[in-house]
Amino acid sequence: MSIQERVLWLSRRAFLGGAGTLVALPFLQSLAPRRARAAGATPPKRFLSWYWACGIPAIGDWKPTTYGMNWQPSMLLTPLAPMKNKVTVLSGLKNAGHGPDHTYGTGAFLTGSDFANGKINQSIDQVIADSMQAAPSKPPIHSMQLGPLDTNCEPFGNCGFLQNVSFGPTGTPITKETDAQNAFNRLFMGASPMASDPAIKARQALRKSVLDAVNKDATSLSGLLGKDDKARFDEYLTSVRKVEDQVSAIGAGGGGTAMSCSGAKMPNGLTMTAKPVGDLLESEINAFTSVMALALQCDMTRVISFMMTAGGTKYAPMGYTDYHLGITHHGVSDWQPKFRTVVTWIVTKFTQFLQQLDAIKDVDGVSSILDNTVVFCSSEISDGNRHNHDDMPVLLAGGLGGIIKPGQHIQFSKGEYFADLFMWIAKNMGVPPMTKFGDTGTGKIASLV
Amino acid sequence: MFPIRKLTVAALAVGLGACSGQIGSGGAAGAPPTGDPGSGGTGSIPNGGPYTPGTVPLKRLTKVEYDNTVRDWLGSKLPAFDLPEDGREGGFDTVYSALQVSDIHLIAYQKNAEAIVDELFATDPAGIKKSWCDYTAAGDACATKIVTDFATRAWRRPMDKWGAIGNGLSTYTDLVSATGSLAAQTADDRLKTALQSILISPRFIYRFELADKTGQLDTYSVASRLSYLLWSSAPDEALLSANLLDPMVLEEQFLRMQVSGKGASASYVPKFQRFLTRFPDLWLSLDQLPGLTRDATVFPGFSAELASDMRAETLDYFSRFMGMADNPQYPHHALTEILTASFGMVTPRLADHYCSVDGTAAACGIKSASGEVDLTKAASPRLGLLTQASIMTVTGAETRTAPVRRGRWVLEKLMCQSPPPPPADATAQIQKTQADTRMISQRQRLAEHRVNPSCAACHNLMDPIGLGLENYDAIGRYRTRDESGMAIDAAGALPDGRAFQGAKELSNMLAADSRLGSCMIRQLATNATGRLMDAAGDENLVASLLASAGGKSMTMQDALRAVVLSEAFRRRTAEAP
Repeated sequence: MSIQERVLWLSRRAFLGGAGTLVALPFLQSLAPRRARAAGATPPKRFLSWYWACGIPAIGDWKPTTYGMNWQPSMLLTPLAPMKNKVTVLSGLKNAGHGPDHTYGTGAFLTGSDFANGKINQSIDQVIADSMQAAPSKPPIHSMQLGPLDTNCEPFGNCGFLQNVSFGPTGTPITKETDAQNAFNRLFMGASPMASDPAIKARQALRKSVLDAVNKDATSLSGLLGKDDKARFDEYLTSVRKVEDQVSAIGAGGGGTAMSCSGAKMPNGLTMTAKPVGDLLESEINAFTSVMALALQCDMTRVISFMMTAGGTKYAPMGYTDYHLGITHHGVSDWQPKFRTVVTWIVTKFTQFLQQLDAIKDVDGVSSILDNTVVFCSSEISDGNRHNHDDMPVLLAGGLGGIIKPGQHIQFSKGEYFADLFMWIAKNMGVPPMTKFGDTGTGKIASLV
Repeated sequence: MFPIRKLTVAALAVGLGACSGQIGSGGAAGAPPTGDPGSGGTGSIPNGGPYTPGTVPLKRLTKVEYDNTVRDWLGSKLPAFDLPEDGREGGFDTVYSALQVSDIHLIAYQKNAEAIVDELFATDPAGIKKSWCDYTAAGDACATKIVTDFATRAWRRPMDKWGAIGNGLSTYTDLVSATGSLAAQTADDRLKTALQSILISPRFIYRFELADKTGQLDTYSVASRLSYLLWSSAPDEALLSANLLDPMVLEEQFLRMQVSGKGASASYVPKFQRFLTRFPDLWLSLDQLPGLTRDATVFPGFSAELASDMRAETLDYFSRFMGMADNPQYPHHALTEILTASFGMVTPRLADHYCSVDGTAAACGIKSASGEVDLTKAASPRLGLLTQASIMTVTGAETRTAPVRRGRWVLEKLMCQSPPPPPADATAQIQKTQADTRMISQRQRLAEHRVNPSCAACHNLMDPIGLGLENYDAIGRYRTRDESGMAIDAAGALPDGRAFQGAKELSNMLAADSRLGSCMIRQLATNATGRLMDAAGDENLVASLLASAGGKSMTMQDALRAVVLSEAFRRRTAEAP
């Protein structure tokens, strides 16, 4: 490998060790669209989901006692206080699934599936991302699926569900990227900060030739395959086309809108110091949130699903050595305080992410990225011990370009599902109207007030 | 649509009462399928019922297979970049339904292909480039030949054997043509682009299997199946040129790929060591040992090195069961003896570990100087696989033993019975704030949660097995008192109610149970075919495999051979016309 190419793929350790700031200005300028930031430009809307595993100790620890704009943070929501006016607390929503459990709760998280017919449908993030790709100013990356590696799912259920919340049109789980460094590399296809524009363009042109060739071969193959093989092969075709789109966009010089990310740098407040293996969780999550902020700032994508933790996560930063699932189950003496500490930490990390997004000015030069984004944040179950799917703990952060008036606590009481909320969000993001979504969305939510 | 596994769906039906979950077949876990399990005779196995070879849709290479394939062929010294970890089904990473492809895979494939081709041009580690004609001077014919040869090897079948789906080669040769779509590029860039495309092509990433109308796979499909099973890598020239439709030839190749040399100098083929590692790693969950942690205050002696030695002991033990036909030092052992054998080999560190509590070397079953395991003495508290530190550790918890995990491991790995996850709201009935600092044994603690009928249905199957293993702590040391200082009562019972006292009795009882053999066949077949053996008729298929392997007396070699020579491996269910 040449020196340039070695820089091209920054090492994971260098990244986690703080060298993420190698994202230097010249590179980002070179990638930035030539169109300058236009005063008055309309910022794009973005959909993010933030999942954490195994719910909360008890809804009473979570739910604020007052409604409207004057709610006060509960015990578990205390860390949210500085961002209180950018977040909507939604109480009383139901997650779908099939009985009170983890596996189906995770499968249902973004799909609204009830699995009654043994099937799972496309997730809402994919519906929204597909619709964005049909628009003229589409972002280069269809969507991103991110989250630290969970190697311990197997004892707990079906890994296809537990490790993924995004599902394609045929209900296939979309593998998430578990390495923040890879996710970062992907944003700019490993283009080197030292490479000049012509070098990047030449490289991307050859890459495009490679993808064109395999796309051509794959497309003709696809028509010749038997039914069973073809169903699986569609994953390959879709993936090739997504990567081609991204390569084309970068070859052409950057993100999809008139946004400049020339001011982009790793957001402040990170503690990406190298820690021994086992204590990497916080560093990894910080690295992921930085990548997400960068992806939005440079308008490389507008849809991200993030799985922060899993049942198999070990909360080493808090000194807990057993699986989180173990903490949330059964009558071990000190489980509840540990569980509270963990959820408080999750809310803290979420709040810090919102602060990152709120610190970045959007293309209009006035609002923040967060103001034009909606972040759906919840878990697959509510009470970690009961596994119930009703009375879910839900935060909805951001303003979605003025459509959401954040800072409220809203109670739902008509059996509204996540899927009803997703229909409302999708409608407000330009997705053609749906009469239903998944097995549980029927359009019960008409407004957020 | 993404199919939901039958097993997990079955789990949902478990509310109160029944606890079913025979892996793949839905048989009741509480009782053996038929006959008397204690007799262990093959006559009690359901036999002769109808089955089909099964359908394995298009399968992509696993991360491990991809890695080995480029390394073995191109001699690449590069680390594999960025490929995500593969999912697992039934414990194995080779099961098709867990092998998705997404854009992050494609990006990783492209990155790897660029690096590998650059390396080939720069250092040519396997001497491939040096045999090429001069493509810069010789024109299209030369470059086309290079591309064709490269693709033939990469795609694991001759260009004229692609049948109805065609070889697609012209798309790739067009890239190198001086008058083609990349005419403006240098000859080097054209060739690099073509070779990268070949490595990203679905023909490389996936294993295309071609079959005739009756479902008979062609020899190249079988070659890849065999090679990825035994070597986790692509077939070599000898395998690709053999006629594997002839069972005699298939068996010859099957043996050639395992052992080289004759008599006492015979040894395992290096690439076959991958099977000898990968299969037990995934079957027995040994791959959890690297990176496994234990609370340092409770187990100060536990270390990554010790965990590695534990895994090595079991891998070595497993490889002894494979055996080599004509090497007297490596006899084939009957598979059921895996639970009762008294031999093995451990490192000095692991020997110390076993003996740190056991006392004398003889009592802890180690010939102290050599590290040779000898469990023939009656005083030895250990026997066979089950009591190896690796197994007792992967089924333990951070600070204590976990009898439920142990019981589940035995049922799932050795009996192929999979108790479903807890019925969700059952846990609500446990006192949430109860301060459980009582000095009571695991037995007393678990007895409490078996009072609840909705828990008891399944825990009655798992807990009594795990409790019978309480004499081994969470890092596999023998003990007579538990974490609470209570004397251990190692009375246990199998799901059918038969009682046993301690691990040695349990191991003997399981070794005599006919389900052990059929479970091992099922695990091998799952790994080999790449599908969960859960289709209609698969119970009959497993029974027929067991019978052709020799039933109770089969060796690991017999079992693997039976799978490889079976219809499930050499055919697929014919598609409806």
